Amino acid sequence: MSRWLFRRTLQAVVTFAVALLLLFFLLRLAPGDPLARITGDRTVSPQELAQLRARFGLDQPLPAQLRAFLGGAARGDLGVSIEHYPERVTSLLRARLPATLLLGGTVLLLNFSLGAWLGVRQAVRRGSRFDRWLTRLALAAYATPSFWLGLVLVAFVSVRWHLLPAAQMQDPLLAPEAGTLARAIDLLRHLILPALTLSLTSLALPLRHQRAAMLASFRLDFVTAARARGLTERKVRWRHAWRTTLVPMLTLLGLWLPMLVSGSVFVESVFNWPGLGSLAADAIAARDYPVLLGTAMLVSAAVVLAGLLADLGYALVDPRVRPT
Amino acid sequence: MLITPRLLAALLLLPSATLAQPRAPDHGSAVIIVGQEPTTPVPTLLGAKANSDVSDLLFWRLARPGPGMVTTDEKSFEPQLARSWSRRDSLTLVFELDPRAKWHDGVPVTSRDVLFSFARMRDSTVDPQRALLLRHLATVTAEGEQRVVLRFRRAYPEQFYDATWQVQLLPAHLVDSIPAERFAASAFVREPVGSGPYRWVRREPGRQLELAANSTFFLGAPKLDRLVFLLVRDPEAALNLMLDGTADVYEGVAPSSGPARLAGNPSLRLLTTPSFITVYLLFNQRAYGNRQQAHPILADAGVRRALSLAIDRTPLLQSAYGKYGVPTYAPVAQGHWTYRLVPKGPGYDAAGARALLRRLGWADSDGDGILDKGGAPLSLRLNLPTTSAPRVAMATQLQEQLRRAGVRIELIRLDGPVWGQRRQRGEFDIDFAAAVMDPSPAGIVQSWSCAGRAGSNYGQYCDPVVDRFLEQAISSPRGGERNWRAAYAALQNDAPAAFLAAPPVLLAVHRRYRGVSLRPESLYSDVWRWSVDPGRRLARDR
Repeated sequence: MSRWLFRRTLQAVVTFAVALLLLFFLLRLAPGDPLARITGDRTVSPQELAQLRARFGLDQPLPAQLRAFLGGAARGDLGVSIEHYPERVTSLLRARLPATLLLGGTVLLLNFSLGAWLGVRQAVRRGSRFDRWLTRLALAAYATPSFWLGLVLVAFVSVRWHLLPAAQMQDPLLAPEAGTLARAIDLLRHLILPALTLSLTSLALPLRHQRAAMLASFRLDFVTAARARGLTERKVRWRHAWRTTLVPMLTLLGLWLPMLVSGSVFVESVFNWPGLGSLAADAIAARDYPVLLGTAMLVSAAVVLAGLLADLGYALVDPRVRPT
Repeated sequence: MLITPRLLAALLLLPSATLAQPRAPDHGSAVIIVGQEPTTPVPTLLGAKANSDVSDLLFWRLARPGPGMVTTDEKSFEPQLARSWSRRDSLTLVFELDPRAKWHDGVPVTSRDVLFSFARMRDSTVDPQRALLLRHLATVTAEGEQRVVLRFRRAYPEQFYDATWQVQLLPAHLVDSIPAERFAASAFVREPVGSGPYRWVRREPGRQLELAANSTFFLGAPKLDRLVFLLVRDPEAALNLMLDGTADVYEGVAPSSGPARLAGNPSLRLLTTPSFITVYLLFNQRAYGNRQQAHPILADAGVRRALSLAIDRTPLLQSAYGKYGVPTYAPVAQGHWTYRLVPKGPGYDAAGARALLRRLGWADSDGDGILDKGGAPLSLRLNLPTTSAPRVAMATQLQEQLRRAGVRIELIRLDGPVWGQRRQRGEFDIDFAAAVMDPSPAGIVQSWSCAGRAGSNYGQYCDPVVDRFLEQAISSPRGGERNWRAAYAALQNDAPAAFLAAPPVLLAVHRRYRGVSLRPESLYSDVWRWSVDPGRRLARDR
């Protein structure tokens, strides 16, 4: 097991390093001047431009830029943002990661608890009106663009009814000395709409997966045997049938986990949620190479780590795939 | 305590400010939405407008231009840190500092601060742009704690403007120990100490920046005691935050759709203020991507004039700016005091454009509706940034208007950084440009003079006649109104660009504010004079 783990970790590290190098060169090959957005439509003298290029090391040849980046990364320093100068990339990532994890984590929790539960209920009541309508609704929501749903929710819930804030992660005027309860409630009020938007538009995925896996599991011999042994339907459903559906659900979870880190660009924009998704989108628009590389590194690491965790998860829940 | 679903719902529906700890009685607050993050609102590190908006509240100058923005009339300037000023001769200005002025840490503002600040700003390794603008300044000396003498190398109309506007004072006692090259990363930049009506509270990167009223401000404490600059990049989210009552001021209202949406909310009003922005079609005088060769079509001033004549500005401005569009016929914006000196351009004359092109040898020989000469069609590439909604809105109409004149325009829609890169490299025939200009009309030399070709004169336009008029307008001690008129007329005749619009800034502002005044050069510099109508005070104002 430990050799397998070592081999798998080594693979993950190599994958990560290759992804990083590719990203570095692809970003530099893409057209566009990183200074265009910070200078905007201002008239900028050649001296100022030269000074800005030197400040961000853009006047250096590509190999020198790569050396500087790798040297910095080895020390845990990803450089200074061009767009958010003089902010360091690591501090930007540190500031944005919690917001993304909170939103992504809430959606993940909602989808893999509520979605899984509803999926099981659907499978149990296969062909019923409940099953048919939930399928229709879930697929309709899945087909709805998240930014559009977000805008509709904001138009009614925030702008028309003034029930919840239209955007932001916190009230901008919330006093620094506000208590924990006030802060928690404020955060929750701001979290509801973006989380609901993301959850509604993606709930169909775990729900349909769970339903299909449960139906397949109901047909298995050991489930029939459990019923024949006189176990209650509840025990048959959750202790026997559901447990076998964990492998396909783990696969889905493994694919989903990187989204915890990457965030959702559209929803973060609509709700001005200060997460990594909007940070990366801004960095792309501004050609902010250091921030782009930083966010890409984080997402690559999450993808590689999620794959590793999913493999470990299979081994835990299914003895047949456990490495010897 | 047991939290029931009903109690939780009630708590969630309470505005957060009511749940916050009670704060000391105050006069009000303002949440100002900005589309760009003010990261370094400190002199010598400004760059972006978002930084200037904040730094103008933190760091004051000796004086600032009056409401008319006449940069050549020192009598119209308003005192800031200087209580008064006088002239010893045409080259020497004397400023008396206001003895009441103090830094936010309580230390008085003295001549030492002025000397230090000017030295920093004139250092070309610190701020090359600023150093260039201060090149005519010879010496800055102190006569005691409160008097400063500035001596120039030459007499020119904007001496006073350069002496005051270009330099925001820095506290010497806090900054002079920081080497210039380490300034950006210093603790001072993270928590700046200024002399203005607001003091620094905190910045949450990527989210917001907060200022608090300087209660000991020498001209009286500001009425709004908390200002939050909230970063919202998405215009739709920004408008929603205004409509749901989270924010109080938003300067990026889209002229096409914003006013209608704001009209539905009685708490908000729409204000406009002149800007220093001009929008124009820049004609490349050099071949696409090759500055060594003349442009095969646009090097001809006649063709450029014809293109200008073929553009009907009225529907263009209507589509992009609604009823708020203001035309311009020269590289000068509504906020400039010389705007009134611009001769009205020849205007729209499609028949005149066609006739002019015919005289220049352009004819539709193959009947495809596009003019040609020597077998080459009159076809041009127009680069535009997709990030600018007004320019995107105008581009298709422009294409159609010019097609009617027999000109084929290929629209090249580009991502902002790519558009900027191509402009710098001269990879365009026509560039759909917008310029955010200095309050001084003299700034146009950077983009429209022969000397500017090494810098931001991306069209590589050069006319010694225009240069001469500009030089006379800028250096004539009498202000040179006649020369400005002549320079603008010469530019119109040369048509290095088709000047289209000088759009105003559209702001949504909450109605509870009184005494709202906005300045074109620095929108919020007078916010310290705003107050909240006591009858309309919100929970967050108390």
